[in-house]
Amino acid sequence: MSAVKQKRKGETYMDKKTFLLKLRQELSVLQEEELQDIISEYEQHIDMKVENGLTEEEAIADFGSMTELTAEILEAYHVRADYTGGSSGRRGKDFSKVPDDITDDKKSVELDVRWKEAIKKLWNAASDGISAAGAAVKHGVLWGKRQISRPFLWILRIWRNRKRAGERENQENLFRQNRKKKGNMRRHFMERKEYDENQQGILAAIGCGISRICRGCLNIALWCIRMAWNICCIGASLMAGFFGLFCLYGLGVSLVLLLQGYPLSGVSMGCLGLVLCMFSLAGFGFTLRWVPKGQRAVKKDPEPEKPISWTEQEERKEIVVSDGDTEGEQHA
Amino acid sequence: MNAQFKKGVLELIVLESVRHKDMYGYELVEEVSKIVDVNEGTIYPLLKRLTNEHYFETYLRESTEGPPRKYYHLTAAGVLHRDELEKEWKELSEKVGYFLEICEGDSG
Repeated sequence: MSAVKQKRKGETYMDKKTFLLKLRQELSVLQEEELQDIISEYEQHIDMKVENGLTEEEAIADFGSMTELTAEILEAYHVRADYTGGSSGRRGKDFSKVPDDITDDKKSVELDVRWKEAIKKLWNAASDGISAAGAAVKHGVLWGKRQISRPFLWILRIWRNRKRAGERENQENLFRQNRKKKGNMRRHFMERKEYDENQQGILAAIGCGISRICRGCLNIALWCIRMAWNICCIGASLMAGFFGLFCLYGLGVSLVLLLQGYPLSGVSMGCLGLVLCMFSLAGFGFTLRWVPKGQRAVKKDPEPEKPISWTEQEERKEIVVSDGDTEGEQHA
Repeated sequence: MNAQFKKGVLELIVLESVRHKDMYGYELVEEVSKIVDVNEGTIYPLLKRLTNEHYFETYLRESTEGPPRKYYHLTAAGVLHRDELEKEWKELSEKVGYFLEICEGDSG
């Protein structure tokens, strides 16, 4: 070992400044921060050796050969030491500054240039390829999104159409009922004229009251059921949400521990899954709330009523008028 | 000593040294040099690698002389890794010792 060192001493006899400069050039693949870190370590080491009575040259000679040293440092970063075709390629970046490289003959310089060009080309090709692949992936994702959302959009459209149709139907029903009521009223009026002392009016009033009470009871029962259902839904989703938050906490803890090197990748993946699951469950629970139809319609789209009512109101008027006329004639 | 031998056990020695006490680079190099005659330059890359693999944590502490020193501290993962290496080393040395004994017995 010492014999080898002696031999190397003859080759790489340099002072601290040269050594550090050369080290910096050899390791120029690394990020500036890491480079600074390593260089300061070696600088400190040399300084301490000098304090202990060695010369700079001796301290540096203890490091052994430059190529082996840099190869080992690069290995620590999982960088191939023979990247760019041997250390001469890296050194070639600005070899004019290094006194050692003046002895290099022209052939190696040419080789350097050729290598550098080849690598540059390769790098360009690789970066082009990566950007193209990125664009393709983006396109693919957009296309996939559209494809996936298509059936949903279709369903949404059908649902909307049906809803609108339902609203129209409701209005027509309402309109018909109104007409009937008016007709009945007319009939009542006529009947009352004929049988003024009849008890039918009182009976009708009682029936009306009973039906109103029944309807009220039904409404209250419905309201109670709705309330219970809503409380259940919201409670369940809130529980899911809280559990999701708890899982999030667990995820954070396990991630921190994972970063510290504990074998917790499985646990953290599980936590992530639970978090997503719980939050989506909470969202789903909120969508299951039972909101009365009238409120929802008013909230969501109050506009579609206008055009329908505008066109149909006149028709209704006409029909009512004509109806009234015919009935009036009949009774007359 | 064979350089390959040293390279293999160097990691174990470094981990074991730092387990007892947080150390800075030069101190560690001296400590390791007492046990195996090692090229001083090779310990820094090793430290770097072990730090990158989260077996070490580093922190800076002011010293009375010179610039602040970077101290290395063994993490829990580092302790686990050290135990594993120790087990491997013992197994290996046992097996090799056993093999050598047998061979000696045969020849003798």
